[in-house]
Amino acid sequence: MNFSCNDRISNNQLRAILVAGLLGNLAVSAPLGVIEKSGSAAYISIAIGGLAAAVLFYILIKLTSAGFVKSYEDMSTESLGRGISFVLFAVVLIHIVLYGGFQLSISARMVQETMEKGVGKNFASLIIVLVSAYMAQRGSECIGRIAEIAAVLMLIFIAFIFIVSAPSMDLTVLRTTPAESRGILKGAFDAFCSMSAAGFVFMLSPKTNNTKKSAMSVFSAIIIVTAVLSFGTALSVSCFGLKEAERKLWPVIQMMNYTEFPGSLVERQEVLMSGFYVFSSFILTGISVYLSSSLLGHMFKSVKKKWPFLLASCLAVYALQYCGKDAYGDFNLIYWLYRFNPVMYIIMIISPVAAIVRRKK
Amino acid sequence: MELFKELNKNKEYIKNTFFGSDDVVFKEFDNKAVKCFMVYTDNIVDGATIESAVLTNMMVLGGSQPDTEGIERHLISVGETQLVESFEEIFDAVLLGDTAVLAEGDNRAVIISTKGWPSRGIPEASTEVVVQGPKDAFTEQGSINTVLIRRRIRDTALKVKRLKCGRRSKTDIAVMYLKDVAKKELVDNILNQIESINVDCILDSGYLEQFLEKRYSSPFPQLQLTERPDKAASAIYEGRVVVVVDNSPFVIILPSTLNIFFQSSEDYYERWEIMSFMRILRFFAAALSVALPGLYIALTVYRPDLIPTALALKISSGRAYVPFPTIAEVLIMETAFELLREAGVRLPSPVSSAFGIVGGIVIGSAAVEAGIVGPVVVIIAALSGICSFAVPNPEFVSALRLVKYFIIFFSAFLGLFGFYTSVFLVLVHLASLESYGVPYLYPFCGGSVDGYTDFKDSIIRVPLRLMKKRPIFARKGQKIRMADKKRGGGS
Amino acid sequence: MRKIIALVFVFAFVLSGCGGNEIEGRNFVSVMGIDDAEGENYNVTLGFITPDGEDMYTAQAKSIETPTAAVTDKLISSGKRQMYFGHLKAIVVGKDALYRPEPLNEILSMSSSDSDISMDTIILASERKASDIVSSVSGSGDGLYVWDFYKNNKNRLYSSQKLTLAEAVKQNDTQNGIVIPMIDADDENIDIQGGIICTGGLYSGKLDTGEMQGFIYLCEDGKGKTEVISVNSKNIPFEIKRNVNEIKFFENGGKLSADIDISVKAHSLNEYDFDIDSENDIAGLLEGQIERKAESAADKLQSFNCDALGLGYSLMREDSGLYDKYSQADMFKNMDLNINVSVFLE
Repeated sequence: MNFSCNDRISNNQLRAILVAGLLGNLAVSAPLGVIEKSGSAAYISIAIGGLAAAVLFYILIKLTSAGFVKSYEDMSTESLGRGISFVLFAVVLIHIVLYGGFQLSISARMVQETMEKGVGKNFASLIIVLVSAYMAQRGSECIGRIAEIAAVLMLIFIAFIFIVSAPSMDLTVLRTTPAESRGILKGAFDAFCSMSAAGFVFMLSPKTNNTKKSAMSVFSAIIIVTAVLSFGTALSVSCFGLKEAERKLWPVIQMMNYTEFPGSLVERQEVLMSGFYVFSSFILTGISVYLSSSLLGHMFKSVKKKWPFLLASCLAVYALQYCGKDAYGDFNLIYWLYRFNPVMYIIMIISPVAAIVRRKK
Repeated sequence: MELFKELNKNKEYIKNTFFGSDDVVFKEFDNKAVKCFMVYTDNIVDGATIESAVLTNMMVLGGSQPDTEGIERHLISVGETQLVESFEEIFDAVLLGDTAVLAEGDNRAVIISTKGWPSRGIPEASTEVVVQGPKDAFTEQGSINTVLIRRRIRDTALKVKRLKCGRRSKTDIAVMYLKDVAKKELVDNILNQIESINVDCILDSGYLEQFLEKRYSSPFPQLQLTERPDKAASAIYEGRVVVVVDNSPFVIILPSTLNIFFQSSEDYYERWEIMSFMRILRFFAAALSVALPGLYIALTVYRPDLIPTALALKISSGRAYVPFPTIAEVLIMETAFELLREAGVRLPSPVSSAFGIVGGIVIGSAAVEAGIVGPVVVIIAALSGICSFAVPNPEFVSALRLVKYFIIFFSAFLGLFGFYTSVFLVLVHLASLESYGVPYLYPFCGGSVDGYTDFKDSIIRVPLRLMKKRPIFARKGQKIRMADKKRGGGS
Repeated sequence: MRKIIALVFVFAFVLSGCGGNEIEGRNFVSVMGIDDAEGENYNVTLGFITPDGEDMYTAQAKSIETPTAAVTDKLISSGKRQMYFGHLKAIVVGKDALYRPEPLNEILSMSSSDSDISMDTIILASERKASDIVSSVSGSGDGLYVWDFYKNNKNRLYSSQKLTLAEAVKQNDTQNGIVIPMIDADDENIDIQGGIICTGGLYSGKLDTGEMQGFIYLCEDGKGKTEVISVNSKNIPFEIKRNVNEIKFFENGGKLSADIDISVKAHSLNEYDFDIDSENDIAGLLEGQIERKAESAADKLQSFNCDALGLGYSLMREDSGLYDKYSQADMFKNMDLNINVSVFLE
């Protein structure tokens, strides 16, 4: 089979993009907000929220995959017409650019804090955007291929860390108090919102070779991310204690420093872990830039060349990292955006539903 | 231009065309029925064949034949002959080592295969040495190379499609494939590509390789070159295509993926456990050779807290009196190693081993004692160089050598972040490469297409009995290469 | 587009302003000592290692007065080399510095302010001047550094804990006090025994060797330690294989009480002839010894109202209703602690 057909990805690549893109970034941004609400029961909240997101994605994609054709943009234009689809694209575009931009800001800050103090945050962001632009220029299939490798590497490394750290967990810290129990559902809602990257999922799913299996791919991806985050959060809370875990900006990453690797040559393991997080940032920013430039290309079809859209997407994503004044500012912005994620479910299924209705007529 | 019926006119035209080429021989003689004219190029023909099978037959023994067709049928006792009607065909044949015979009153010529190229016999493989396995290698003669492959594939499905490439060199190209295994579109694509090349000359398979590659700007080879007939035959069995180029002892195999560059012929001749270990070692060695110098710079300059304290102190005390920054130190050693490697290739073999020892001692120990570099950097550079030799394919190793500098540069400017960024950029570049429709990183990317069966021959090599399917290159319906055999009694 | 990307990359590199110090341009600070100084200042002593070439390095100590206990390399320099805290192994706090809460708080917040310093840094306290300790361990020059001590003396550490920065931060968040292991050192030896009690970041008192051992059992850290009992004028060492505690809180006559059941599994390191009766006697002797140590540690801590065991936090998580009934300030001090030890011999 000749599978050099750019702009189509396999179901495995879809799964890998979601795992690689979400895993690293949610490991930084999601647990903090959930720990604040649920305390020691944060891992339960993440599990519930993630499961809910996975199930909802599965149901929605299963119901709407019959409408998937070529790409989300083509599907929208054909089923809704240019006018309505233009407005729809604008909303999705803003969402994806904001998502990519805010995560970029957090990523750059994390790089500066844990990996390289000498690198300015703006400069780290610039590098990430440039790499993402290079990747986006190559197309979604290139991003999918990279994600396949990155996801496997990340999961193997994370599994190893978990296996080594698990015996030394202090389970008493994870006992839930009655007050924390009441916060489980609030935390679960936050976790659900953070996992609901509907914009990305519905834009990528039609690009798969076999759209009928997209639902399962997305479901399994979200489940994997949920399992890793849930266990990682439990591990970091038991490691730091609750108060310190609440204070830490990126507890799951910094928890790696407490892991005693047998025969380890490296003193500060969390810096090694940050490397995989950087890969995840590249992939998420890359897919944001790619999807947003693709949307722009469809919105302004009169412009034949692709590079202005890519440039515009890069600039937009880069510019957003100036919005947050500090790390907490960045986190507040991303949490605000996460809360908007459930609305994106409704917005994103308009096109496939319209396509199905149009087909039946 | 078509031949004339008049022999004199043909003779004149040919002599004028070859005017100044003193190695082209013209002979006029009489067949008992008609006057004839013969032309050939000296030293690339087999003189004995001309004398015995052509001249003796025609001038001494032969009967009278009034035209070239009669001459071809009755007087030439050589297996391969052909009647042609144009001057261009005569010139091509004569320059290739064939002999052309023209007769009076006939506007055709007989081309007789009398090739007698000087060649050096079948050598031993010099760049792809194996401990266990056949030692023969390709030569510069394309015809012998195709024979070496044919010996290993005695199947009528093996097709050899001959082409010429190069406006002036008219180099013989042979495209070999298994008709029922290789994908038709792949073969057609390759043939079209070769036919569309419009260049003066193709001197070596390396020339052709650069025209056949799609992403010629990438340092990574997308086609495989090999001097081993067993490797070429194995590739054909997998559904890949082999392109034999005359005058080149290396044949081109395509498509090729990154995984293939880590495979050696003897992987399949020795036991699977040890060869799996060697494969893993090769991948590890490749990663080490590329990443080690950059990682060293990133850690020592930017993050010494990641290095164990005792080692950090050791490195630090070793560098106490070195006047250069770490990046300069690493570049000095890497460059010195590259110079040693290059010089060693061109030295005569009696001298090269001694030179290698002297060079290593001089550059290694003396530089450390002089305080130009620290001892750790010597080890880093040496280890990086040695690890690169663990990869079987020299072209791929060359690419790794370049990529290493890229990573060094990034690490020097951006530390650990730069290291990770550069590694990621290299991965992105590899992920974007394809070789005639197959992703370069297959089966690590896109392995699900074939149900991950190609992982059986990637980082590890499973026992041959378990490798029942052909890789992704084979066409649909031809995936099975090993059928289940019913067991009889006994072992 | 690729050209634009490449161009921006080149400019970004040139203008990045990134650069690191060469490794030989750093002094590796291994120990830091903090003492009180005049006014609001502190006397910070750094024990550091300077690479000297020819595989040698020298260890030195340098003291400065500084307004902050948590120093960074920006404040201190030594010659042409930068002070590098990435390999800081131990922080020694002098007793006099613990008469103000700021030093300990600043040290504990160091982890978030300076990413060079590892959370594995050991915290120790000293009754003498920390500067003397640091000078001694740095000046010995033959490798008896604090970071080697824990590695080389695992079997001897039955009377001390290893308190890391991470652990100290965690305890400080959840308890009103911590016990910092005590160090004493001269040019020949390093000894870590006993502990200094800090309530609310301030010096309260100290635990001697036996009390520290009792504290270790109460913290479920007894595994791997060695307990020696004397039977018929023979010393029998036992290795503690397991130390698990169970704490139950209840009200008894209007007073908050806690039953602490310490379960210990021990294995004798020497072979002896036992009959069944004497084995029970030996177990009983062990129980009694451990119980005495634990009770004396608990009494000491209660006398200083230092809830280094985290009982208040445990109660809050298990029974917040009961927790709210009592004043948090005196809860631990007034708690009725019943310690029961059960020993199982292997």
